[in-house]
This record gives sequence, structure tokens and C-alpha cells, in this order.
Amino acid sequence: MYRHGDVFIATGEISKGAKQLPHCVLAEGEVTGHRHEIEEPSTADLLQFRGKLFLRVTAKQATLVHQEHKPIALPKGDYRIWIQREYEPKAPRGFRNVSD
Amino acid sequence: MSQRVFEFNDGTSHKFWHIQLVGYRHTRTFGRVGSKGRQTTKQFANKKEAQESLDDLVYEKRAKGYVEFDETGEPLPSKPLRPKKPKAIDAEEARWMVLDNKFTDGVSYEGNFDFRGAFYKRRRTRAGRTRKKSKPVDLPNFLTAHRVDMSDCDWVKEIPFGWSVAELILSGCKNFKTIGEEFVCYHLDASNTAIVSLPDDISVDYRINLAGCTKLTSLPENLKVTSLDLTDCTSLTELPAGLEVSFLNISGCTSLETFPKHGSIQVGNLIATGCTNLQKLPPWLGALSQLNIEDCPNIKKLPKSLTISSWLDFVGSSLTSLPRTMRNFPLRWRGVPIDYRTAFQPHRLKGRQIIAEENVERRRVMLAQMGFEKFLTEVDAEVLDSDTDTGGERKLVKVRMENDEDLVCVSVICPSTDRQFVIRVPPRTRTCRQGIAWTAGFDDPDEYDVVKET
Repeated sequence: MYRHGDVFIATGEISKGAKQLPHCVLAEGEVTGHRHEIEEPSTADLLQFRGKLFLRVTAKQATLVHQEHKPIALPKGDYRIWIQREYEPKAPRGFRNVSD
Repeated sequence: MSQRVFEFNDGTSHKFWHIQLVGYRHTRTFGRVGSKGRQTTKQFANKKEAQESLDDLVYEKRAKGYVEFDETGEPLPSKPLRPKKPKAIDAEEARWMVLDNKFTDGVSYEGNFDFRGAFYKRRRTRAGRTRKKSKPVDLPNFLTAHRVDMSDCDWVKEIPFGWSVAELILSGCKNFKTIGEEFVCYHLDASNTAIVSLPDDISVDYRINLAGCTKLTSLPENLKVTSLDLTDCTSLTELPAGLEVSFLNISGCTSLETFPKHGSIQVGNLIATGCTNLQKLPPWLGALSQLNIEDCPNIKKLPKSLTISSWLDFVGSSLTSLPRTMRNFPLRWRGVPIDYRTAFQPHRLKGRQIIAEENVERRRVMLAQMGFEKFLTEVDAEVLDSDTDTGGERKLVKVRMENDEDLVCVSVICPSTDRQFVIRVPPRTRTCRQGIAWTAGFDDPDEYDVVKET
């Protein structure tokens, strides 16, 4: 499992029926506009299924970058992606994604 | 108007040619040097026609090899002669010009010259021979083109006389030093080059990018361009008088101390992060969209005439408050939008207010401003657990809330940015490890197995 700020990445199977997204931005800061994204979009595909994000690294490796966090090199393979959560008693499931 | 003096000397004949414009007529005197010469005068309908005729005649003489002298009898530096009519060429001709390295002055091409691959990967000559290495391209004077890309071409040392190019890309040409006179351009990118100065008569409409030009020491007076990027021009000690721009970036210009007495930066932005020696902002600064003076420790106040519509980022400057008229400026804390109280009156921040802030970045800034220890005391927090991870010390704290469940937060330090974040976790959490694992979606802390964290 990798951690890039408030974004987690772990190897995992990509759900069947996941649709490819037209970009490679894993998450975007709400107030800063900073992005967690794949530096070279041709090296990986970002997919989505029922609100869940998946990443398929198609090149030998793909580099995850952000304006403030150091880059992480992801080797070829399939990954699950999720965002750090925060306890929020008023939220439907008792938590919400960290918003930055 | 004074007389212009020309002489021609090729060894066999030595002649003079003088011309003077008076009113609607010009008078020419010419002959062998040593003789009195002959004189002719021509009358025109108006001054403009007379001047045009004079220019044509001077051009002819210069084309024939005549040299002009000044009043003291010193020859004037001979500038290349701009061809009367640019020679329009097509793509095929342009390609061969690059491949054969045979340029003629005054070529005009509507397309793009790409010197990067053409020069280094040049494999075949017209005769079909292969060459691994070739000589630098002899660049012509008076080149007209839409776009010329020479990025990272180490052989480029100067741009010759009289270029007129919509877009000229020279980024990364580490031996590039000068641009010839009569240069006209829309977008000039000479970032990360060894350029020292720009010609006085430079005309660039849209953008000049000189970021990373650490040898740049001066810019021409009255320089006018929409956008000027001078990021990390560390040798630049002053900006030119009469500078007129809409967007100016002087971030990292550590030798810059003052702004010129007069100039104008209007409408756009002034980005001046890390100008550690900059003493103050100019009084002529008017309406800006954005102003960034992060890490300019000597800036203590803003000029009176300044208005800001989009944002002001000031962290690391010596601004301690804003005058009443400026309190409506939207503020940013290293990119995070914050309010006036968080920025300048952190003593008025309340712990509960920080807890109530939904955005984790904004909460982090408020916390940093208030101080974590003060926050813990103020909200009467109980430290349940503490340990260390890659970022530093972690703490699990509990705050009792009236008529509500306890607020339990884990405080962590980001290993990349060294910033402290506080994230709320379920009230049953007992250890930092358990809390952080929960934020990643794991109820069992043993499942939280991070191999790399940044």
C-alpha cells in the first residue's frame, strides 16, 4: 500500500465494468487546486466503477505527482485508489472523505 | 536636419556622397574624394515624400557598399541591410535550408522552423550521404517566420539582426547570450539561457520568459510587454525604469532591492515570492488581480494605491496587519484561502472554531496560527496516546464536548511538507496507530501496511 498525502493506493483487482476516465487526476484539492495526478497520462489509465477509482499502470512504471508531496513511482499493474476518511457523526455512514 | 555623410572606397575608386533634407527638398553632393563634387537638388510635394526618397537613396548607397560617417568623421557601425522585399519561401525550401545550412538574409516563411531535430538528428544530406555530426546552423539576418523552435540547442549563441518571429523558443540554450537589434516578436521564451540583456529596441507584444536566466543583469528602459517572467534571475539587481507590464513574476530574484521610480503593473498580477532583499513595493502599484509576496521578509506594508481583486498571499513577509481600506482583500496562506482573523489576529481564534472548520487545509492553517499546544490547552484536551511515524510525533487527543460525544482527533505531521494536520477519528479510538489505520479504512491497525509514504 502506498500513501500520497490523503490518497491511498494499493494493488488490487479492477472491478468488471469499470469505465476509463478521460484524465489521470486521482484527487484535486478543494481550496488549493493542487492535484494528485499521473505525471505522464500515457503511462496509465484511470478507471471508475460505482464511485470507486482504479488505476491501471500500462507502462513499466507511472509516476504519481503533486505540487507538495514527493513523487511515488508505481510499477506496472492494477491498483485500487481511495481517499483518507475522517470521522463525522452527522454523515450517513459516520465518516466523510478528508477535504483539502 | 543635419547632413548625412557617406563614403565608398574599394581601392580603385574613392568617392563621397552627402545628402541633406531641408523642408520639402533634399540636396545631394557627390564626387571623388578631394574634388568639390557636383550638387543636385530635388523638390517634393511634402516632407514625407522627401524623407521617403532620401531613405530609398540611402538604402541604395548602403547596398552598393557605402559606409556612413558621423559628424566627427568616425565610421558608424555598419548594420546589416534589411532586404527591400522579404523572399517568401515554401515548406520544402525551408526544410532544405535547414538541412543544407544555407540560409539567405531576408527569408520569409509562414510556417515553423524546428531546429532541434533538424540539426542534431540530421542524417541525410541532399546528396544522400549520411552524417553523424554537423556544424551549427548559420542563422540568417532578417528572418521572418511564424515559429522558430531552438530549445536546448547548445550551438545557438545569438539571434542575428532584424528577426521578426511570432514565437521564438530558446529555452535551455545554455550558450545563448544576445538578441540582435530590430527584433520583433509576439512570444519570446529564452528561459534557462545565458542571456545577459535584451536589445534596447526590442518589441515583444505578449510574453517574455526569462525564468532561470541567472546571468541576466539588465533590461531595456521603458520595456513594454503583457507578461514578463523573471523567476530566479538571481543576478538582476534592478528593474528598468518605465517598465510597463500586466503580469510580472520576479520570484527568487534575490538581488533585487527596489522597484524603479516609475513604471506600471496593471490588471494582472505581481508574483514576488522569495525576493529576500526586496525592501518595499512601489507606490505606483495600482489595481492588481493577484499579489504574492510570500517569503519577502523586508516588506512591511502595501502601497496606498493598491487594490487586489483575486488574492493576496503574504506568508513570510513582515505584514502584520492591513489598513482598514484593504481589509476586503481576499487572503491566502500559501495557496489556502483564509479570513482576516486567521491571517492577522490569530489570538482571536477559538479552539472550538478550529474544530468546527470542515476543510482540513484551512483547519491546519488555523491550528498553525494558533499553535497546537495552545489549542490543546484551550479546548482542555486530554492526550490519550502519542508515538512517532515517518513525519514525526503523532498524538491522539480527546476533547470533552457538552451534550455531545467526545471529540477524538489524531494529530500527524506530513512527511513531505512538515505541516501538522488534525483529523477526527471515532471516539472509541485508543491509540494513534489505530486512529490512522481507521482513516485509511481499516478497523484492524495490523492491516495498515504502508510501504511508501510521501
